[in-house]
Amino acid sequence: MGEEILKKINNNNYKIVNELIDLIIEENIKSEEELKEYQDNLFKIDGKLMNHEEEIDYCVKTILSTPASEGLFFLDMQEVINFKENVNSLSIEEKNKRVIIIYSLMNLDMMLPYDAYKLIMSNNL
Amino acid sequence: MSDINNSFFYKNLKDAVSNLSDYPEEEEYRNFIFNGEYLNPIAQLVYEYNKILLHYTDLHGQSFPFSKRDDFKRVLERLYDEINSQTIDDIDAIKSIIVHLDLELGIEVYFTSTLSKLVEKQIDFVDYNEYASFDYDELAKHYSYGGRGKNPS
Repeated sequence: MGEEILKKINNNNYKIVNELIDLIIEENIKSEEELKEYQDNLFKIDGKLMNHEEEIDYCVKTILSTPASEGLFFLDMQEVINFKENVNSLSIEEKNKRVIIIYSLMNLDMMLPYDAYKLIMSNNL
Repeated sequence: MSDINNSFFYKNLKDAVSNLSDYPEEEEYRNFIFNGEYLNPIAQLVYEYNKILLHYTDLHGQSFPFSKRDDFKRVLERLYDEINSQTIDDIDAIKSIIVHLDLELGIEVYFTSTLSKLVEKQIDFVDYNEYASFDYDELAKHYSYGGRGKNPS
């Protein structure tokens, strides 16, 4: 699984590819299904799973409540600020993609690894 | 000497050197074109780190004795930190360490110009067993000073 992700590396996604491969090795994830299950379990509350949109909204709220101040490059900071200001006008697909990128920029633990995998494998990240 | 000749590392080194083309820089450039795009230097390091990590985890690393496996794990953790630090002090040292790990694990060397330069500088290549302590700093020192951690000057 890691090899196929690595083949999709590019100048924009390499940090996310790195985080994703690290995660699948750390968690010994062998298949797409296991990765989906891993992501869903991150959002399980009292045994109840969130739907996909709720998962993304949870991540958006985390970003909005996390100060992006220390250790960020100026351009990355601009990206975070821009996201925070415009998140409400984004489509769910765009929000999903931007959440994955912003989480990586802010060095937050990856919460949407299955979504990142799907976007990378379909050349959309 | 027979031990040296039989070592997996030295066999890989011999193969990698004999496979070097006359134009290692061009070869290296081609190695880092993915999906029609040339990877930037940091992305190249990330690619190589992950290639090593996957091989270490899936293939050879599993068969290493515990202490060797642990030493490699520490080197990989430090390599990760170095690559992900916002300022990379010595990219050539990182590339040399990556080449060394490629040879230890028997995977293809992509930084062919680095390997070529190390050969030209007559760096004293030694495998895991010949290091008093196999760690990131020792490897960096080794490849900075030409061999066995000693400064030839």
